Amino acid sequence: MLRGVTLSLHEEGITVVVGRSGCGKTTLLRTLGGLEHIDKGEIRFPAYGKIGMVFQEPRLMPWLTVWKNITFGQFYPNQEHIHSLISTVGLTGFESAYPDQLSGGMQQRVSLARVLAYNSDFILMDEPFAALDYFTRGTMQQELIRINAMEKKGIVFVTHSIDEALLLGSQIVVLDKGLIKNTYDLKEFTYERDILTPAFISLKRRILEDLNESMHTKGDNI
Amino acid sequence: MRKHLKAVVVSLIILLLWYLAGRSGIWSTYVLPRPEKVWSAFVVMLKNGTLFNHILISLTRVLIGFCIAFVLAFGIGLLAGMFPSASRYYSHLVEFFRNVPPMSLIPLLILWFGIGEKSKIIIIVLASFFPMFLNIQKGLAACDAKLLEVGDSLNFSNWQKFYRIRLPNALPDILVGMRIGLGYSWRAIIGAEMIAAASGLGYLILDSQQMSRTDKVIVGIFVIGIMGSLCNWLFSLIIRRFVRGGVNDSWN
Repeated sequence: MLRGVTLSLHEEGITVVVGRSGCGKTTLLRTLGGLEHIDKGEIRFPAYGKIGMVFQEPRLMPWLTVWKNITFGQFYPNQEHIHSLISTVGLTGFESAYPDQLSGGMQQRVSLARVLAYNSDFILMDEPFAALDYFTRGTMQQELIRINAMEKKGIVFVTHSIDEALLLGSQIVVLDKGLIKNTYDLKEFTYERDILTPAFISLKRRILEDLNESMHTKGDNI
Repeated sequence: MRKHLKAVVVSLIILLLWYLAGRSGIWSTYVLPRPEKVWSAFVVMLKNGTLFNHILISLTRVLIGFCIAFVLAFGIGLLAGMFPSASRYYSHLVEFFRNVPPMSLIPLLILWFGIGEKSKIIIIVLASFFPMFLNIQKGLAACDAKLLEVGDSLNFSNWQKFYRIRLPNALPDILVGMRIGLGYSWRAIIGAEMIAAASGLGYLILDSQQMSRTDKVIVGIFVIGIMGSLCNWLFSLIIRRFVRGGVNDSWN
């Protein structure tokens, strides 16, 4: 449950919302995506039409091929554009495959291609790489950075991994128990990032403090 | 080839037992005709075309009744799937009629609709409507919300969500329902023809029994079993062709 969130997003950057399970980050994302209702407050987007979403599970239509799944949101897909998207997510050659023939990581990449094909102005991503193994995850993160740079679409990325937040975010929003604990601006850091450098390590420490603080002050048992 | 061999061996053993029983004379040929006699009766009926006529007539009745039942089941199942809360009004009625064997309705149907084709078709419709309706309703109602949300995220209209997500998602259930419904139709027609018909496979069986031609009775039974299996097999092919990953039902 969200209890009072005021947030401004980077239009062309990656806003990462990080927090522990149950802090409300998925709810926040779903609210932004119009899948949940808000009791009080408003969401203001500049005159866009479309917001795309990538869920935690790939959520592909099992009866459709990869190609059909990617073009699911479009009436008249541009063949070349789709082909280039397929190559962007590294699935060339799998156009006629069905979801049950793909691994989890590949399915998630189809899901990513789907939202890119949809050509929204903003992309909301709910822990999209959480179910992937470490290496696939790394690849996908780099892909995301590359896509963000190329397509210039704003991204809101929810994760519970602080490392992932440090790798991806141009802005990091720490959410805890339905409230924004802190916001960090990382625009100065270019991609590719080495999160083992002192700057990032201290950043990570501060974020961990943000998350642990409320744990202590509320008198929770650890 | 191996698995077919196993099936063939069992059939041959049964045939052999039948033949030996015939030879031994334990039962009279009235009670258990010899396989040779049944075979020659079959050949005769095949050659003079009567078998083909009976098959065609029964099949036609089944297909007509089945199609009508499907249209009804799909239309009502659609509404039921779209308005799940309405089920409270009618689910008890459905359950009630589901448990009434169509055969028991025959006297009433004859009274209301005579002994013509109408009452037979109605029996078939009654028999096959319920499994199809229940499967279609379930298939349409139980669509994974997660898939529907994908539609939401792509700004689908309600119609698009139905036509492009809910309906294809329900296809396996619909096809299973149809397959079961066809089987029920087939069983129902035989019963209906035994009581109020002058043609068809059910009539063939009854007429043969009255003529003390048990061999023809057995021919009729074999043909019925084979036709039913054929229809079922055809449906399996259709299902496999149109449904990705096959269908998980309790029949295979």
